[in-house]
Amino acid sequence: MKHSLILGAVAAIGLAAGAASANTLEDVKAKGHLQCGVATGVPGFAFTDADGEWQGFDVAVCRAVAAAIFGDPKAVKFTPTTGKTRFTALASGEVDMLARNTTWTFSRDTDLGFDFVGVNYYDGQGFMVRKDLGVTSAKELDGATVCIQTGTTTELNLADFFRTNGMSYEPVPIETNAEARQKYLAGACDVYTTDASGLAATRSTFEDPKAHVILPEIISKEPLGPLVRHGDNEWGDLVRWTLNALIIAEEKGITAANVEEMAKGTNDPEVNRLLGAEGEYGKMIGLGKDWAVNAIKAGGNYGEIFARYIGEETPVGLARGLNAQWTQGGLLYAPPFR
Amino acid sequence: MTAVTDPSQGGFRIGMLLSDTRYRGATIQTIALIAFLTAGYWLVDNVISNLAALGKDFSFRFMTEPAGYDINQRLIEYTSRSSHATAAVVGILNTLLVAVLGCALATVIGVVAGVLRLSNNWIVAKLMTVYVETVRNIPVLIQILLLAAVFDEFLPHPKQAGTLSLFGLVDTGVVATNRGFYVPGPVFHDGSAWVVGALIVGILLSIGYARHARRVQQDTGEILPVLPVRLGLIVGLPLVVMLVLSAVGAPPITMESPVLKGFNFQGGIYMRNSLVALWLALSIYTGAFIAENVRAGILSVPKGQTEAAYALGLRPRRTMQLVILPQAMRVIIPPLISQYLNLTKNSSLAIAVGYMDATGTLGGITLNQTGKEMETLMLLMAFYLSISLTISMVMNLYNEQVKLVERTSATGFAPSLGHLLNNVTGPWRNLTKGDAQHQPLYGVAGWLNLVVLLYGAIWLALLVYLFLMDTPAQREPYFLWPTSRQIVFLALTASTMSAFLTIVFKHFRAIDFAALTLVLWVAASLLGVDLDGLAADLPDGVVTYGGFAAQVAAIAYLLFGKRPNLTYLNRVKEAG
Ligand SMILES: N[C@@H](CCC(=O)N[C@@H](CS)C(=O)NCC(=O)O)C(=O)O
Repeated sequence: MKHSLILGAVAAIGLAAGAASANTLEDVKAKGHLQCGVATGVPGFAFTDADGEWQGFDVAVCRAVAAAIFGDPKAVKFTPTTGKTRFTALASGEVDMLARNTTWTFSRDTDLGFDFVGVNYYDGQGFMVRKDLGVTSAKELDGATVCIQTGTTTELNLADFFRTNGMSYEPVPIETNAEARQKYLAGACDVYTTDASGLAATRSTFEDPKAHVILPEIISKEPLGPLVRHGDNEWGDLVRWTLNALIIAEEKGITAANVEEMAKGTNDPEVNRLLGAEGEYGKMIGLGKDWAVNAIKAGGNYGEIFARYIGEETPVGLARGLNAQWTQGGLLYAPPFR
Repeated sequence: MTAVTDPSQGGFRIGMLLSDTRYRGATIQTIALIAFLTAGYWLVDNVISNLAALGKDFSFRFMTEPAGYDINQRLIEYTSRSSHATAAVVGILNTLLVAVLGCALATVIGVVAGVLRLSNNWIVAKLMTVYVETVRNIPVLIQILLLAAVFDEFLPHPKQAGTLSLFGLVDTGVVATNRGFYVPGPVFHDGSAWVVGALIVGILLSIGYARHARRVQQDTGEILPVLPVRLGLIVGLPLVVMLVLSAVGAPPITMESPVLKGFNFQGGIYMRNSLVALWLALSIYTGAFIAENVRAGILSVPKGQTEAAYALGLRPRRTMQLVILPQAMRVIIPPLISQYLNLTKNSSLAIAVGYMDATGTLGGITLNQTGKEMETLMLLMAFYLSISLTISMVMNLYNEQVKLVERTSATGFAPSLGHLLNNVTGPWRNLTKGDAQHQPLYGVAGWLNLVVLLYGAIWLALLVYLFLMDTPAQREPYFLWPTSRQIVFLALTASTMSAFLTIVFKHFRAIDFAALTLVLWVAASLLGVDLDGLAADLPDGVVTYGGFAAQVAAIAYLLFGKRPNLTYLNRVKEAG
């Protein structure tokens, strides 16, 4: 009798603990907020402002998803993750999604058990050095000491780049961007290498940004985008289409300022479908009619977000380049909303 | 009561499992065992089902795939195309390096600080108190980070750095930069083998001389000068050879000084700041604990011992050496074990300063790039566990040697091959430390013998074979072997190590480990482990059969050796 009781209890605990929830949207709604993994601090992409609020180009994706679900861009809590902790945080369910300059690669998409829902920044790996070193090309870096973040695609590309060019280097592994910045400025490494956007962002915080150059070589493709756990396709769809909504909004000229107005109905049926004036599209991803309106209202369309945080008017000063709309010669190309 | 203890009345009832004191213990233990196994099963099952839910399989295959990343400090050949397993070994060696360096320096610091804290000089004693109390009470991670930050921020950039000189007089040739320390290093040319040979001969001669000196003292009481002669042999002999060779032709060994080339200094020995910061911080931290152990050890020897030694006419240095320290050691050793273990485990904080230890490679980048959390962490735990167990085994064996042996001390009641064969080999008497017969071979000098060398060599060969995995042309990597072969090979390695260590410390158990090793040797060979691969240069069969024969010979000698079997097992044949 007693034995079966104990066994039964143990089995019950086992079932309770073993059952990993598969419906993320339900969980998020029950929690009342979205839990979003972001970088520990990359200027322009993910940082805390003077009021302690998280801001940035990547953070804006989290806010848009929160707004789509709850109608409130503030209904999101952030978990700062390093290159090393991010995947564990997502896989273990500590965060519901990651929006943290993370490169979409085959093994991350398949073997690690994640789903990338799209690309919010097309990037590539670059090198930054002090101007007074007189280096003009990455091919002149033989023997240099290089700061890299561990657990990134960066360190793998770096190894390949130096090996294929027959050069040697001294890697200095570090955990966060802030630490890399400190080491680089202290001269403990000659070179800092990471995604070119990250380099520009980091350089923008230097006292004298002009004393540093980003070398012309871009040695890899780094499509950065938000990702979710593999296995909950509904949740993946929701995040994917929130990102797409922001991109389509720019294409269609929908902005934070005019979205309410346009939601009342326009001549363009695609805009009407997106903003809920036509059809029941919100319901298909488990949300209300005005989900896209809320998402766009949160921080504006893709172009607005880009301009506000990392665009040419900001200290980070990135040009749209590859990240322009396809109509402008860029790679941003959201599937049709129908 | 009587009813309970009388089994014949009423026979056995289920209720008696709990009410009867004869069965209660067993019942409770059985229940505990079942509960433990259930909990264990549940944990494993939970892990498996959760891994399955995440779509991950459990396999170590990834260990044989190219790692893809570079490691700055590598003690063995490694490139980014080497396997994850090799990367793990590079990390393991880095862990061992900092652990060994750290334990050595911590011991020096600890002994000095511990002795000085007992000094009669008030200022010195108080200074040591301040050191111990401050350092012990600040988390070691903070001390590591502090040292690393100091190196980063205050040492000059390579472009500005020059060699350090002592008081502006002697150029040390050492360069300190914000990337690390460059120390002039030796470069070996043709003829350096002679110098190395002279060094080995010098060491052997000095051991022989020490044995001789001890014997003379035992026999006549005359004390020969030991330290100067031994130093002269070990340092002087190679020096003379070196000078002669230099006079005849080119110097066989030259010192290479670091010079600035391109971005960094090149040449000499490079000690990265991450290593130095970690090493110093761990040593200073652990040294403070060791200082307290040493102080306690010295205080534990009653003053009367010193006074008695003085009364016998021993001078203070000899009193310390012969009377106080041997007794203090018994108190110092056990806590010292745990300090060494602490230091080794604390070295896993290395990643905080970018030192690529086992946690940084296997448990860091490999884990992250492959997403194999379970597998890498299990391997990492196995590594730390085996290191810790090895350290504590070594220290326990050493402790066994120095501890007081009393008349009533039971030595080895547990079944042992040695005891079982007593009828064949004749009864043995274990020697205790005071026995005169024991003296001449006590200490390091007694370690050198053929059996020690045999097991040492096998152990080393097995480790190299196990870890040198980037040789797929020669054999399959370990992680692709069938499980039974993997297990037997691991067991063989562990058993060889145990045999080696027990023989070094002349522990009676050596016979059992030697026998176990022999059995596993045969088993491994039958299971298809290519034992000849341990020394691939030798003809086929030499290692497999030669190793077998040598082990049989060693065991036979341990059991039947004619002369008093002192060298090996601290025991002599009983007369009659
Ligand atoms: N895109 C690469 C590297 C991403 C990465 O870690 N970039 C750095 C530098 S921009 C970063 O985001 N650091 C954030 C942090 O330190 O919290 C990857 O996905 O592996």
